[in-house]
Amino acid sequence: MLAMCLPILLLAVPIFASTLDTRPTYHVKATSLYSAGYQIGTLAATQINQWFQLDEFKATLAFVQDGNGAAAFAALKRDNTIAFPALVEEMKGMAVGARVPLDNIWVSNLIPELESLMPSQIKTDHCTDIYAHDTNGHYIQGHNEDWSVAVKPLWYFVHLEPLAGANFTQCAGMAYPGTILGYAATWNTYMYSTQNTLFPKTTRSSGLACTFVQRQATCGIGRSETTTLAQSIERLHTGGWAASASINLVSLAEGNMSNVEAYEDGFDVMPVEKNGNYSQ
Amino acid sequence: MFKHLVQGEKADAGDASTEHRQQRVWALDVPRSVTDVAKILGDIEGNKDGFPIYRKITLTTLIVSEKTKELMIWIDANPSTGGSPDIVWNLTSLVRVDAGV
Repeated sequence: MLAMCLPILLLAVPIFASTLDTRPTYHVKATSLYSAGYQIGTLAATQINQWFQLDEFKATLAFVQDGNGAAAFAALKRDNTIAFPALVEEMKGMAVGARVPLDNIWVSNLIPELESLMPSQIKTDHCTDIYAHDTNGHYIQGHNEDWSVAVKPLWYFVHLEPLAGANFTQCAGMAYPGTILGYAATWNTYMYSTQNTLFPKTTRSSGLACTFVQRQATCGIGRSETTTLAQSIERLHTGGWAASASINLVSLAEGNMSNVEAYEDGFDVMPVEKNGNYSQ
Repeated sequence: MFKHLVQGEKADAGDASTEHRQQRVWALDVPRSVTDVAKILGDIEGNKDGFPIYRKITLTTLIVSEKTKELMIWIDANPSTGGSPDIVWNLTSLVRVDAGV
């Protein structure tokens, strides 16, 4: 096993900021998402294990141990495994690389859905977005990523780079420990996205999880890279969401922006007009 | 808070923080530059009612610019104070450049 893993580890290139913040970028090159996940898990094992010690994670993990929480967890895992098998492979690799239980990685990636189902709902405020245009009509999009003071030191950047023959596309972004790209700010060379959490009174205990849908909508599905705003919106419009999200989309190549709100089977797009502005 | 999906607006549980931050954004001038956007995202006027835009739980601020094709990132630092971003990603090449490098 060690000999098999060694070549993979050699491809991982952690980059550290040289000044005030040493926030790492885990730049991994791979031919499969399992291998990419394995490398990320290895590199981010410390942050992942620290995240598992936080009260927020422990409460969510406790919720899925029995009763309605366990049933919802099983249903969410089932539905998202069917819909996103490649991303599940990335999670499996991450769990092995970090030497942690796969279910803990699942909980990390289903946090928005699970927390919305918890009786003593953890209502974590999330994020502010500003869409604007400068006097020449060039877009500007700003985002505050909010979560909790406890999570502040634990997040990192990830840059996934496919090697020849890989079954995934290039993707970069901000990642929470144990979480795949897609939940926080995510980008490739064509698209950029951020997310705002929404708080509907009810959410489903099964269905598609926002992190997986958003990952595909921003970066791609398999070898099919997301390259346009229309394509990104189409990939968000899956229906069958378990919960909800407000997604902020910027087409880097086309120079246009939209806000999307998704809730269960509901879906609406708010284009930001050229020279217009919008806030979320 | 849902803003335009009717199904969501009907189901919205309400969120005082979002309502306060939205009111504050509407009270400010329309942003026309990266600096303007940074000022809004770093606004702490709402501290007096407990709902500032830039908060203790703000992990990072990200601003993407079409003009420069760059993503500017301030990490645990208020972007309205005039400081340079800690990290800049070139979105054409996906190369990261750190401050001072």
